[in-house]
Amino acid sequence: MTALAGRTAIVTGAGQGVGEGIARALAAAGANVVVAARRAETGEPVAAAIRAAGGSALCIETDVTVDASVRAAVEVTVERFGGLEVMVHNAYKPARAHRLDDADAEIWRSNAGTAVWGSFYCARAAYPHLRRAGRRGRLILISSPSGVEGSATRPIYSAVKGAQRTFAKSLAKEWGPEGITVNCIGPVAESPALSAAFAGDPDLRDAVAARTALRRIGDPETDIGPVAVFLAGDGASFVTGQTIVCDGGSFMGL
Amino acid sequence: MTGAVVVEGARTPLGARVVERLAALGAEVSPLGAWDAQGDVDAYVHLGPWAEPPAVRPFADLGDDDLVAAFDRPVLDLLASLHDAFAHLRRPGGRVVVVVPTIGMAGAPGLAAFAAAAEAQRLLVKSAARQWGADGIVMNVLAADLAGLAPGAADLPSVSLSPPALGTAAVADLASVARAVCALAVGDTAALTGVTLTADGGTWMAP
Repeated sequence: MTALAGRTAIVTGAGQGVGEGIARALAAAGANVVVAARRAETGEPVAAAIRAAGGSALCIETDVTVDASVRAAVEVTVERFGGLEVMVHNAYKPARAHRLDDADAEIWRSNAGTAVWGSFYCARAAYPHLRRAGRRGRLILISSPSGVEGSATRPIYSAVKGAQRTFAKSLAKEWGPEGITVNCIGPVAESPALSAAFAGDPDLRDAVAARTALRRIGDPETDIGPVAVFLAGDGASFVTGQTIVCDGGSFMGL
Repeated sequence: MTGAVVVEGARTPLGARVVERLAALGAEVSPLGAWDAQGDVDAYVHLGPWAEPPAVRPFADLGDDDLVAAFDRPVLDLLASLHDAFAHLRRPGGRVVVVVPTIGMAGAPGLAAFAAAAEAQRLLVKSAARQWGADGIVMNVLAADLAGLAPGAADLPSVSLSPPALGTAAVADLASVARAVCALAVGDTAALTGVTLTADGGTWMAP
């Protein structure tokens, strides 16, 4: 499949989990993929695996909470591949469960730093290049069903994921005249954070799966990745400001 | 239900109408001050920073200080207020009402971080409603048009393709918005929690 041949995508948090799955899917669709990971130890094996499968990939160490780090990743990407058409911001530092009445500024900073400020930095750094890409320009933010329905266990997580959705809507309106689309994906899929939660609660996997219409938890590459490929491709050039919830039919919005 | 109500933003145009209406309904109203001096509270109303007309600017032109002011500060202020209110809200029966602009749900060009803060507030309320329901506390959101909340705000594209159902004059009718706020704070609405009511003359109609 070469739907994205000739295009270049950056995927943050691509060293594992959903980000890795999206990176692999975009590469399989023909895109040059930058595996933006906080640590090369996790990102480089993903990039190497993509190259070994015949794809084009480069790992760049990136801390999405640092503006200069994101800008540097974008600059290196453009130098290497000649442009940037697709920016996918997925990186997120998993939040521990908390009560709202106990949540302090540190929990806020931890959650907002990666999810929202990472979105700000990725959007700001990518914008000149997405504008140059015109109708091929894509910003895709990885949000969560919790950003729609709220969360009884992680209220701050829910708030920052909701903020990402509205940020995407605003930018979709602001950047639409230039042809750029901005969308969110709200996945529930296998990830290190979810695996850790399952390890601590053996019944949780079945409980989560039982909440879904499809009775299973998503696979990052084969369930979530194709949605990112769709949003990145020509088939979604008229789709903007939307959140596609990919959770196997757990939360069904109005 | 009436009783003791604390109002944050009592000096804003909407706040003045909320205070007036609550008093007319027999509530004992206090502007937000020192929580230490506060006893049990039946309702806390948070009107937020929306009365100050925001600067409409392309997102790419915003610096980090602008983003802190537009995004972090409103959410952290609400978080701090909710912490304080939680210690004083009556159990069961305490209520929280948080007011946000409808652009938090619809998005707004030139106000990307500001609108994101509004939606973060709305999700905080939803999540808190899920957590604090066990304490008998109900929490809801009242969404109003920014043109009403912030008199003098720059003209923005409407959040809807359709004209306001109740006419243009109803969009920024703060007296009507205040009545809706008070209905959530002290009205016969104890069964509602985690809800967003929109009082904007029928402009934004949730899917």
